[in-house]
Amino acid sequence: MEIMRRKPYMNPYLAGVLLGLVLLGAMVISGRGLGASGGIKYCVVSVVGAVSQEHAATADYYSKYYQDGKKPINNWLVFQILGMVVGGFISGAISGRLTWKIEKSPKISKSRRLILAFLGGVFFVYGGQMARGCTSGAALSGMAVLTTAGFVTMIAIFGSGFLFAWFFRKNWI
Amino acid sequence: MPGSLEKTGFKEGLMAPILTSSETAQLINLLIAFLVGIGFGFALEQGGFSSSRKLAGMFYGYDATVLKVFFTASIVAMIGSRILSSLGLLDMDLVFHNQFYVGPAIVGGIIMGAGFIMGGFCPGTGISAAAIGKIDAFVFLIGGAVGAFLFAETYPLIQDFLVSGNRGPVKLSDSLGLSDTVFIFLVTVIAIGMFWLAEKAEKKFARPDITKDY
Amino acid sequence: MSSIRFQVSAVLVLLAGVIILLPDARQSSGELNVPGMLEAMNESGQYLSVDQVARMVVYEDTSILVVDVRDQDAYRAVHIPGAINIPVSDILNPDWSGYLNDPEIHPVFYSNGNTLAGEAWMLCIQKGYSGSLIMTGGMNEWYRVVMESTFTGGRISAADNATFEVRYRARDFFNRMNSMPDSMKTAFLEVKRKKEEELVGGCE
Repeated sequence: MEIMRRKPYMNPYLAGVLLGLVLLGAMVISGRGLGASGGIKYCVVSVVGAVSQEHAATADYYSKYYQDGKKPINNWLVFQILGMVVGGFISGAISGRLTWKIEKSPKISKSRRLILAFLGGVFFVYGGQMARGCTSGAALSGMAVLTTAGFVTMIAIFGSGFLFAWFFRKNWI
Repeated sequence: MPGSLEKTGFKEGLMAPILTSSETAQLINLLIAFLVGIGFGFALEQGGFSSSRKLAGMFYGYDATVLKVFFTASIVAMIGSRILSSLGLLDMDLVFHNQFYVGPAIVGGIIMGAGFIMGGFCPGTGISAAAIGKIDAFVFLIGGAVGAFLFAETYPLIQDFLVSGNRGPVKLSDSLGLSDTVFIFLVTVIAIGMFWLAEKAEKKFARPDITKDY
Repeated sequence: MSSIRFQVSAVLVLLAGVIILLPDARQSSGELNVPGMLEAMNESGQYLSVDQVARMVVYEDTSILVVDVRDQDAYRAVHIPGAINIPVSDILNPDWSGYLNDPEIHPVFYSNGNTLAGEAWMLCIQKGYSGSLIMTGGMNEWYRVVMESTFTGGRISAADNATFEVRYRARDFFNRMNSMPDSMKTAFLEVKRKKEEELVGGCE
């Protein structure tokens, strides 16, 4: 199979227009915005339910997803993130960007990058569940409908990102 | 969610087939979610969000792609939805408006900011990066699953905090006493101003060693 | 790159300007400004008098639900019999929507005067709950009219007789309920929260 030459990224403003139209489409067809961390949550809840039905039934948090015989995996967000995998793959494939790689600054080791990536994930999704949405779910979709929650969440994420950036700078630049 | 398609903006007679069984509606809703996801993942990856160093660049000045894509996308959706709403094609009352819980939004946002700078991803961009083979994104998502699990297990401890400060689905335009359209116009103008500043910052803090690689 | 930036920015600003001129297809109740709301309140009879509320309480009229919007301590000290307590700061909590947005039951808000009750009413209107009412004068007026008023005059008319009878019964009911030991009072304060089917969305 021919390896495609790597294509440059799409102009960010055009990519933004494209993303905005996708979001608008979701609003028009399904009456909701986009999301990501919620999709991860439903997967985790399904796994917990599969591993230990008892825990899922008794614990406050899990039980509400199983009420009335509902299956948490049958959720809009889960299917949306599955689509994201496909969409991301297609984009990478046509742009010649498919590659196994650990992306990192040359100044740090691979294991350090992976540890930070792991911790970043833990923090991000934990915070995302607390704020009832991540950058896509709360900030992006929230701003599109003008909610104060959307703007506040966005400012909190990016504001604190800038504040923490100084402490983590050696890992990136 | 059976019956949720009945709550769509297409209710005003645009959508032809009337779905009788709620199971069909459920399946079609999930299929639509899948298609939306394809578009979402595609757009993110095309914009370069499958690269953690590009995302992190937002916080170090050398790459403002996040700002450009993020704000362009919200503004397109804001304007688009308002146009459709004014034409009577979209019922905004049937579109989800997220509720403002003061404490959880701020504290959760701060925790997410920390996660962003450590991991170099957010869940959406992490998924599109994992889709093209970035191993650091895979690890980020595994951490994300752990984070979701931790949240579920610590839920009883933070339960009261999570429902505190509920102001309802307030809109910022209302809080500022502006009409929606004037507010949207202001946000658009401010965002464009930020785009210009961003271009300047990128030149000033440029790091060609990072940006040219990808 | 910069020409695309110009083009996209220009189109967005243009569209954003155009929508200011487009009328809103639907009257959204969320955009009522304060003067408009006060007019709406005065015109369409959002107020009930204390006598009207007393009568509905005494006859256990189920078309209304009396809601005390003061804080918990005030409620626990004394409250109108049959009232539930939803402090105004919590009124938008979706847990209460089953009570506040029930098409068959009108919530009647009261506070010590008119301020908190009026606030609760406005918040509900903005949230899209229609049908709520306010008891004019609140607890202070209840005391003046129900608890402390007596008939002074020569002969009593039939109408006045009916009114005062309701007041006396309400007074009695009030005293009995509010002198119950605390342990029994809390049983009335345990209110199960009904869940309304809500719009789905967000990243939850």
